[in-house]
Amino acid sequence: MVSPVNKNYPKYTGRVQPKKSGETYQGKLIYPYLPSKKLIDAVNLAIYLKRPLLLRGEPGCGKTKLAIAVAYELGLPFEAWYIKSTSRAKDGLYTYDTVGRLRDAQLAASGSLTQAEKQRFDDPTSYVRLGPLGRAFNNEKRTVVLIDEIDKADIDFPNDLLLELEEQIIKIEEVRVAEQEMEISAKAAPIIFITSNDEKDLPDAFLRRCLFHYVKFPKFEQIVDIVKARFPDIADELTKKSVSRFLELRELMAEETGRSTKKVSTSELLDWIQALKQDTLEEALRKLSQKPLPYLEVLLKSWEAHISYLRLSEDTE
Amino acid sequence: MNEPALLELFNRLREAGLPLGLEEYHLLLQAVDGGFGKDDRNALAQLCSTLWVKSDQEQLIFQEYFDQLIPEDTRQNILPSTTETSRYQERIVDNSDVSDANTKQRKLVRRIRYVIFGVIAFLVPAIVIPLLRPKALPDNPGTLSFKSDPFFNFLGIIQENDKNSKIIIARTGGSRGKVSASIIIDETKDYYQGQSVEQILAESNIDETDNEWIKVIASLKDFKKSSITITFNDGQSGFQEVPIPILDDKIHEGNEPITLQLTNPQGQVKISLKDTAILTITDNSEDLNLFGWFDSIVERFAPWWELFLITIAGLMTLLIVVNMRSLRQRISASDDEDTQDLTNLPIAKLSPKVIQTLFDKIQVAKAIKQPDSQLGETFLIINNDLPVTYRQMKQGWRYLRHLIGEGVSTELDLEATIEQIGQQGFLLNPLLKPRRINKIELLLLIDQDGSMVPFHHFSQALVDTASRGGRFNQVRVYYFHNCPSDYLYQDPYHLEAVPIEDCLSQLPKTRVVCLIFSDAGAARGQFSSRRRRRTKFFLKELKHYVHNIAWLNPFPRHRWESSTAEAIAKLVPMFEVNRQEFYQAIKILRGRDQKFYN
Repeated sequence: MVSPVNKNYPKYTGRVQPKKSGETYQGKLIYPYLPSKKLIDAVNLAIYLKRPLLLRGEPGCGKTKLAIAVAYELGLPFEAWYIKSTSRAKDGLYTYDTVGRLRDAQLAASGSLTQAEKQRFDDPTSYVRLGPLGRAFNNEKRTVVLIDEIDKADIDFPNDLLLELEEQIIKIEEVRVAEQEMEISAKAAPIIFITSNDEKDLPDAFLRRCLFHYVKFPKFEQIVDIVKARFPDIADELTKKSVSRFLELRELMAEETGRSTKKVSTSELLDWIQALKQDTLEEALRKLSQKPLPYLEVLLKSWEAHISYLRLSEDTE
Repeated sequence: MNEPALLELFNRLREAGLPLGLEEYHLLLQAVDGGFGKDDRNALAQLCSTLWVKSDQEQLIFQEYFDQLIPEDTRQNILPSTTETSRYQERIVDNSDVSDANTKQRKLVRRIRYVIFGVIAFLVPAIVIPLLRPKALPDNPGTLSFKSDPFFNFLGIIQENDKNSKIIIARTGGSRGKVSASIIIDETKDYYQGQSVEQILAESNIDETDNEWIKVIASLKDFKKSSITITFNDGQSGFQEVPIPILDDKIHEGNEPITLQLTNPQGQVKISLKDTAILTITDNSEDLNLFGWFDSIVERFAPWWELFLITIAGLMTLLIVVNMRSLRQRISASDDEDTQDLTNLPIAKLSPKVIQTLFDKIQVAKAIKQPDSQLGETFLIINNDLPVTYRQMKQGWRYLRHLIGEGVSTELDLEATIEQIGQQGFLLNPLLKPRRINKIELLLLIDQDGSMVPFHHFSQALVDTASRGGRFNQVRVYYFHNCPSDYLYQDPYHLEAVPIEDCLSQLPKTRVVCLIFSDAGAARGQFSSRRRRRTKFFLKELKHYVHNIAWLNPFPRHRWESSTAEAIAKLVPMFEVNRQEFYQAIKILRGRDQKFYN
């Protein structure tokens, strides 16, 4: 089903950034986000074709943050659905408060319900609680939906979402309207971002319905831009020095441990710079030129990585 | 949908196993219509890969095909401001006509062209040569020659018992006067029992003066006369048939070549330079005339040999020329690719390892496409055509489940709750039940090294799909060599040894299934009672802990015969590696069809 497309779709440019740090958008902290040209194209394509965009890439390279940045720039509502290992597809659509209804039935029988409560009881839809995707479908405006780390759930999870993503209809089994299951069809096609950490392979049927983009690790200049956008008051010297030391470390880890282990990521770099910023500029620069690097606990997350780093830094001296 | 290059790309990607439907192609058209991917070739590549590519491996395949199929845009062809899809499509079509020689349509056109050239090359001599012949000068006495094959002087084959066998003499170049010539039949090279007489004499110690032998030699004579006279009347030219008198005999002589010579020309006629010709007499006394059919074909088509050879030669030359040209084009094209990287896409250079995986994946897709190609005789899997694809493996593993409610009760048990209300007449508390999870644990035992080296790729795929794509509670993988004895190994290199008893005793009491992947001695093809005894011992021990066991053998069933594998297959359900049998094995692991084995 390819629904007719509208030529006047909202276009994402990636240029609109929050003015001051710590700004919130719909209750969520928002940071500057600098997407690559290709990512911007992919986002616009997803918006235009009304298909979910599947984002993959190393942990900490900004997959999750993209969704809210898009919502912020386009001024659209934002719904996040963080997947857990116990999540089921239905949870994102709706939950039906069966226990509440049973309780109300009992109270109604004993005559202890107020008039308003009785009305609520008579309407079976009032026990439906919509999940993030359900709310997005129900919203009059196009809503940006983030389905975060879909690979954490059971492998049947993505397949259970196929119908909803394709037909953009939610069927509520518990409620029957005119002898049929109640349906909520999307009023405006939501803009869906799905992130995956590659823990499990996703089923082909699901992949077929998604657009795909691999978020790559940014280049030196881009990282410098990202750092500057995040910390506008940072000294140029400190930025360049820390980013180059950071990239050295990253390369070293890649050589030493191969592709299998986790490499330091952009988000860790930002934490690291945050840590460096508590010192004065001179002190931070001095620490950066030392070996081993300062605040290693921010960057190295396993004992093996730590040991091999120390060994290598001794070798090179 | 008239962009052949893009459609071809799409089809190739589908063939290579990417999960794409026609809808995905429409998506591309839609996106192009919406103004995406129009700026240049890179933008188009990016658009296609966003729409169609879903993993790194697929990205490699995509890049490969995109570079091959989508023509490089030249500067003047880039139309950045076009808004109509049709113009965009035209551009694709134009370009593909010029430089895309790889598509199937092109190949078809080329083949048709070859055929047309061939037909022309055949027709021209066929028309011209007969036209040339009658144009002989009538004032000339002409030339006499054997009408024979020009390259071999070969007159054909006649049966020894043929009563009116003939050869044909041609008079060409003129028809004046009555001319005649004699044909001398040279029968010196006699054959006896399929061998030449000289050879027999040389090999055996037969006395040439022996009476018996002389009789034999006399009986070998094949012709009533040793010379024949042929006469052409005035004004007569063309062909004349000359009867050859042959003596039929019952002696086994074998096939015998006879040399005929045209001599003694009368009436100013010339004898052609090729004044000798060879005639083969086949022996009808011989029962086993294996090549008779061939001889008769040769005989029948002898007059056409000339034309046929010319045609073949012409065709060959043409083919060579055309191929050389296209080859040169291709070489120059690939040179261009090497020197300038226009694509600028994520992966510009392929590491050997990646190329290897890429190759695998395409091979796999081919293996699906031709279901009738059987698993080969011995080591066909060396090519890494997985007879069961990753996807099929994953699907197979998913059947292997045994859902059991376990852990903390979190889900509402609606039926039980309502039942409780019915009993108590009042809702006191909702009843909860635990979540159902797959409790099956998989024990994979993999034979590594030795005869299994060609199948390492497959065993790795089994491990990968089971641990990533499956939904097992736990997957334990152990390795062994030939057959498990005393120790199993946790790594494929046989470094971390674990005593078999420890391995087995760690297993939970229920819901463990075991799949063994080994050739069971089928590669060696012999029976080894030691191997069988050891395997039997191990299986006996294993059966104390694991109820459902299946064995996958990379060798086809007919290779198990009279090897250790056959004996082991009686102890445990053993399966070949192909889709059906893999699913059969999964069925066994689920606890079905167990009745035949114990």
